[in-house]
Amino acid sequence: MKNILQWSPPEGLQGAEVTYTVRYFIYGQKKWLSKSECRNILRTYCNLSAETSDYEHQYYARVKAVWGTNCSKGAQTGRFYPFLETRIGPPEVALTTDKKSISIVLTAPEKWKKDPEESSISMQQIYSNLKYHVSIYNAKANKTWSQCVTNQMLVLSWLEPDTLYCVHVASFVPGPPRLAQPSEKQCVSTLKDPASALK
Amino acid sequence: DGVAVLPAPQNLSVQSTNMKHLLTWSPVVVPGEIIDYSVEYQGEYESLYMSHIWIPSSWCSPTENPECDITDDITATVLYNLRVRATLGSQTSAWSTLKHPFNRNSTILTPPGLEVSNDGFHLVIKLEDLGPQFEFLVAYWRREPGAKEHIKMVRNGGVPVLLETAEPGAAYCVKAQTFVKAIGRHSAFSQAECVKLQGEALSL
Amino acid sequence: LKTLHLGSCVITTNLQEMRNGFSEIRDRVLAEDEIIDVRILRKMVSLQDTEPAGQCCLLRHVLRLYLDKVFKNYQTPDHHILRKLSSLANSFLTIKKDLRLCHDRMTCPCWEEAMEKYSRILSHFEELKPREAVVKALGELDILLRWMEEAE
Repeated sequence: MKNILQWSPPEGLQGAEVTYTVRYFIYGQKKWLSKSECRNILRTYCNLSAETSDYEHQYYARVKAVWGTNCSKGAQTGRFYPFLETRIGPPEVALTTDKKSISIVLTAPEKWKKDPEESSISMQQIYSNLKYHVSIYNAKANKTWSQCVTNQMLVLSWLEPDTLYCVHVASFVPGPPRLAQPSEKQCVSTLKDPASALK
Repeated sequence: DGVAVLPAPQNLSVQSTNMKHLLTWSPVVVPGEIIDYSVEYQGEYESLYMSHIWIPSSWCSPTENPECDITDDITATVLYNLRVRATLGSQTSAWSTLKHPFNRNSTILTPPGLEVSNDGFHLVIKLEDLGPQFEFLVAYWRREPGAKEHIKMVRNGGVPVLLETAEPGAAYCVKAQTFVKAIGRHSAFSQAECVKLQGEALSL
Repeated sequence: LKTLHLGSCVITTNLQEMRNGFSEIRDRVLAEDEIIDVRILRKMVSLQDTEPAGQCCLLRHVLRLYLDKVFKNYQTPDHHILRKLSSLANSFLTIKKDLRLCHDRMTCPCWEEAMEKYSRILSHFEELKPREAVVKALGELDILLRWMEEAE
């Protein structure tokens, strides 16, 4: 739900001193609203996350460019529906190992918040059907398998001791197709098994 | 004026297996000439609310083959009318319409392909990728007298999926059936495949 | 297959297939709707803000609106859009048949609240010119599908 409006400079004015002013509109309401932090700015993006934080509404945004005494017509986005269109980030993945097991703790990504002090809202609260696709790669056997889970705690037991396993996890929500963002691959080794060392 | 001189295609029929639907007909033969065909369809909505409307099929308007994959057109569980006509230059045949409307819930569902393997003590299966409409109901049990049968739903095929963390030295057997949510039907079970952990799959 | 709980009327429907179909044409359909300060399916008349007992009735009337006045009157030369809308219309027809069964079993009562909300939806629809209303209603399929998803 971090919603950033981006645009390109007008044709032929790359590098020129062009300032931009952004306004946004809540579909079905009556007025264009402005955002003070994005009035007469030089950069070509504007963070509208706070303005579009009610993800059940749909929004438009418009940008006007001013160059010297010239003022452009406004360029307008299509209708943006955060609930359907936002990308779902990967969960946080914490791995702890034992001789023959790896515990995986998944923490759902959080909804964007303006003030770090605000209480967090987990994407799990917004998307009750959020699932995780966990991929496990056994480096020694060169085998990969996966699991689809909804809970946030997973124990892979009966693993081979002293073996490197790599894990990456993608969150997904059944519904309209969304770009998946898998987590970084994390690799851990199961501990050595003293018993087998004695044989 | 070149209309309906060409004979209309005959013997229209639909073969449907695992939600892939193929409309076929007898070819119209004019020696030395290549005949084009156009396929159109009408769902129950169109026939009830807009009966004059026919929709050109996704892949066969036109086509040279006497068959048409209508899978991407039949996308609701209702009755569909289907029709075909032949074209040769400016000559166009009459439409020939499928005698009985087709409903995808009549599709034949075959047991899914199933590969069973293990990674150490992990029982791993890979099911045939039959497309997004298909889920799989997987039954597995330890190969010993009186063993309890466990059931697991697997959402997609084509990728190795962990079925169970097994016990050392045990032999497990697995079978699977498809389930198609859109029509609320499932296939028969596949043959059971067994594997002894730390060993290769055993044939029954 | 999703199970929709609409009061004591329970039906199953394939929302995922409808979602996938509409997402293929959503941007083009939305681009045709230039009246951005009018919304037909507003929050205060939503399924979720309706008493469970009346949800079946409200949905049944909204689906009838789409089947009788929206899909039927939308003209486009674009065969891809035509096919996707045909798929949605036939899926809506299937849902409407299931709701009809609930009606026959007296589990789809129409009380004042649901009828009052539907009449407001209808008036929002009829305030617009016919072509504008059809285009806007199609663009709001996102909202209608969301209402149904929330009824899971």
